[in-house]
Amino acid sequence: MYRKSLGEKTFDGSIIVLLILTSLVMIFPFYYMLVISFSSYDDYLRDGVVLWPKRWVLDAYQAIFDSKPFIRSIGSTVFVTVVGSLVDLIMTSSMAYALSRDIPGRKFFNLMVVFTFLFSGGMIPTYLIIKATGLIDTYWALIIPGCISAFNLIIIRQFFRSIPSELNDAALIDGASELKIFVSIVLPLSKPALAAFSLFYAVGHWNTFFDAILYLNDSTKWTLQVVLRQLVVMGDVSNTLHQSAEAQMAKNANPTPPETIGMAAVLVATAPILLLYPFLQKHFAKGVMLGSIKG
Amino acid sequence: MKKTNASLLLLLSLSLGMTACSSKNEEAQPSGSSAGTSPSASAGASGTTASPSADPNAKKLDISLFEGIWSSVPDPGGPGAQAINEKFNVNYKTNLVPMDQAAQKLAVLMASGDIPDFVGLGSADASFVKWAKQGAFLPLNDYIDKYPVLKYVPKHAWDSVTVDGKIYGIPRFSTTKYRNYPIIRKDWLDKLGLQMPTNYKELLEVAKAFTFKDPDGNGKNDTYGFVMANGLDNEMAIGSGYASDTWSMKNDKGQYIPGVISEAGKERTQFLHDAYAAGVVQKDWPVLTYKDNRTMFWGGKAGIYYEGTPGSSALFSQILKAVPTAVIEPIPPFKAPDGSQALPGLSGWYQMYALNGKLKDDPDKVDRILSMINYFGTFIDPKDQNENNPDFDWQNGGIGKGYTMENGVAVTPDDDTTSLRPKSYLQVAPWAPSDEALQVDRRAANNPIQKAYAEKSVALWSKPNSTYISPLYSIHSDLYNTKFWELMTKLLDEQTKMIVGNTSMDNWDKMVDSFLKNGGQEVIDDVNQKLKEAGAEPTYK
Repeated sequence: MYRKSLGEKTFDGSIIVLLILTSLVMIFPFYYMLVISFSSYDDYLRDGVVLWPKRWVLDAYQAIFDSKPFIRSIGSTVFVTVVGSLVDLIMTSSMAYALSRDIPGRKFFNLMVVFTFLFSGGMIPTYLIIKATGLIDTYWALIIPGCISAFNLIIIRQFFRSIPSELNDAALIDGASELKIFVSIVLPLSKPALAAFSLFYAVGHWNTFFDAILYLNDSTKWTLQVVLRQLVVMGDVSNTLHQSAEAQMAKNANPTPPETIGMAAVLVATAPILLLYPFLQKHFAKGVMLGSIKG
Repeated sequence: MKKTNASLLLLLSLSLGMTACSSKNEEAQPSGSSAGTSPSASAGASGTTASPSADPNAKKLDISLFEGIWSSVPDPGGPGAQAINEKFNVNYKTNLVPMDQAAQKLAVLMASGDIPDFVGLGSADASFVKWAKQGAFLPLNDYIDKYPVLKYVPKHAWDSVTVDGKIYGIPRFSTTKYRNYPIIRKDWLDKLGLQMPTNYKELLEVAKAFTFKDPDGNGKNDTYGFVMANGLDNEMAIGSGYASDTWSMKNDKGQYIPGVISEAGKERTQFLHDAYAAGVVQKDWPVLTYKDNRTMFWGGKAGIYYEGTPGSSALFSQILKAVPTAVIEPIPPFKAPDGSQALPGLSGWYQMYALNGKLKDDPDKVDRILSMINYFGTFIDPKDQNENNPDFDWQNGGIGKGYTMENGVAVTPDDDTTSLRPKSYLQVAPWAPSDEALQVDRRAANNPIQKAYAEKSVALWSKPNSTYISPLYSIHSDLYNTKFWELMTKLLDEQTKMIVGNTSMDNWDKMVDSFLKNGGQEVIDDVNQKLKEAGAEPTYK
């Protein structure tokens, strides 16, 4: 039986200790949020809470779930995330498939995609387009403009290219149309890739913040992150940003809610997307390797 | 092969032409609350004495507003907005966003030409001047005389919103007094047998005692003399003469200079340096935020911080829970090297409304907007701020719904009831005839600690000639508005380093020199020239 030498044991041991410490550093913020969110605000103020709440209470959670804007914003965000990711996937994969095949002008379209990868229109022209297309004040303003990410498109295109062309030829001989090939052969073969990119897109939509403020004039449609920001950091603007004394007074007169509520809100807003990761983990690892070997 | 190419192209064009699937859904529905009774109707109709516009024959007008607000955002179609629609015969569309995102969105709206009928602006900054010059806003000179409330707007406020001789904004009221100012735990002073400090030397001793002599008596070494946060928030200026934004000291050439580079500023920085070395302020203050400070002070763990008057009732209720016996008082101002012994005053106005330049052919709409501002800006005497005053009751959404009365004070929580109050949709601070007329201490009636503090503080502010009014409030210097704040950031960085001991206090002169060389002198020249032109001097009110 192989015995580890003392040196190897210390080496292994120190790696384990290091990894435990690293993971603690990452887990602690979440743990801290959890503990604070379950503390009563009085305890938090009086003694501070570090490792264990004095009393476990649900005050903070009650407060956020009693808040109409918060609940409403969860609805908005879920809608934008689900519908948005779906639209993103359909749009991105169909375009990627087209670009992965020999079609006239492929180079030109590829170039166009790469161009948007490097340069963007900027905030104001984008706003003008959204306004001109009548998307202002609709959830589609958060979904359609970003529904094809150039980066994701290129990776998915590479993935499609890696599917053997013989499959395609065989299907053609059997009389399948391109659409049939795409839907029945290419997409099912690409499930891991699609899972990975749906996660990318979903996280992006879940975190929608400034677009919602910019394009949605109706505050009842605002997404979770906008409402969350008001609960946690509103008025927390640093004083080094030039603020008049009057502005500071106004800021002080509207304090953000207690930290316990802020922490509870952050947890509620992070949990769904956090819980998604472990289940998509295996696809995720596979997904990021896509296109890394074969060009 | 042709066919496959065609269908591939089709796929491609489908995805490229994505905008085609634009929206048909999501019509702006005035949320479920629309069915609710509007609390206004009856009260509003009977109490329109202050509103010149309540002409029943007036045409129904669409009016839109964009503004950043500090409080929580009300639902655009909420009962409060509908009450406004009825009272003023308008279709009022508000687009209110959190204050810290407002500037960016406004810039996009202005640049894209998608400008609402009127917009709320923070101050007469460079963007405002630029937009006014480009004709985005309506000159208001011919209109303002008609609205009684605007007579209270002081001249220097009108001057500030005037560009090339034309008035482009309606300034909104803010107090001159009652600014954020250092406060101290008087009960700690008493417990430790200390006197109220009268200079920085005594202040340092007090801060040391607060830190090491267990003022809260819990047997733990867990208190601090005072708290500060990044950007030198709570700079511990005890008196206007020591504040970094005060212009009252002169240099060798007889020019006014900002407090941040004056001898007084140096004395204060030296105090902060010594205090830091003595360990009476948190070691990590440069990375803390003012929110951390609040938790410390209002949780009863620090002795000195700052607050306005009458102060935030939310904060005072925190300390009432944490330390029911706390006594909080403002620290009377120290005598400063400029000879003053005064409290720092404010400009007397904050934020403004500007009207869309396109409204010049629509005097009806201009009148309706200004009437609304006039109505909401009309001052109601504090003793009448209750359910018996129809205007007050209407503006606050009706008693028992939008507000409740406690100890003779109206309480308006910042929660879902926000949408019930019409005044949430047009947050004009009423123009009070004077700061004293506000009787701010009345608002503190619900909390004994706050009540005692507010009375003490109002008494301090009410002493004649006790409030320093900056001469800069009467001038408009672009250089100051832009360049100075850029340089100020550097100065604060340098001073932070000195305070925590990363650089020596001996570098003070070097810091000032570099400030002057890098544009500071130009700012001082410009400000002083404008002061001379305007004949403005520091005054004490």
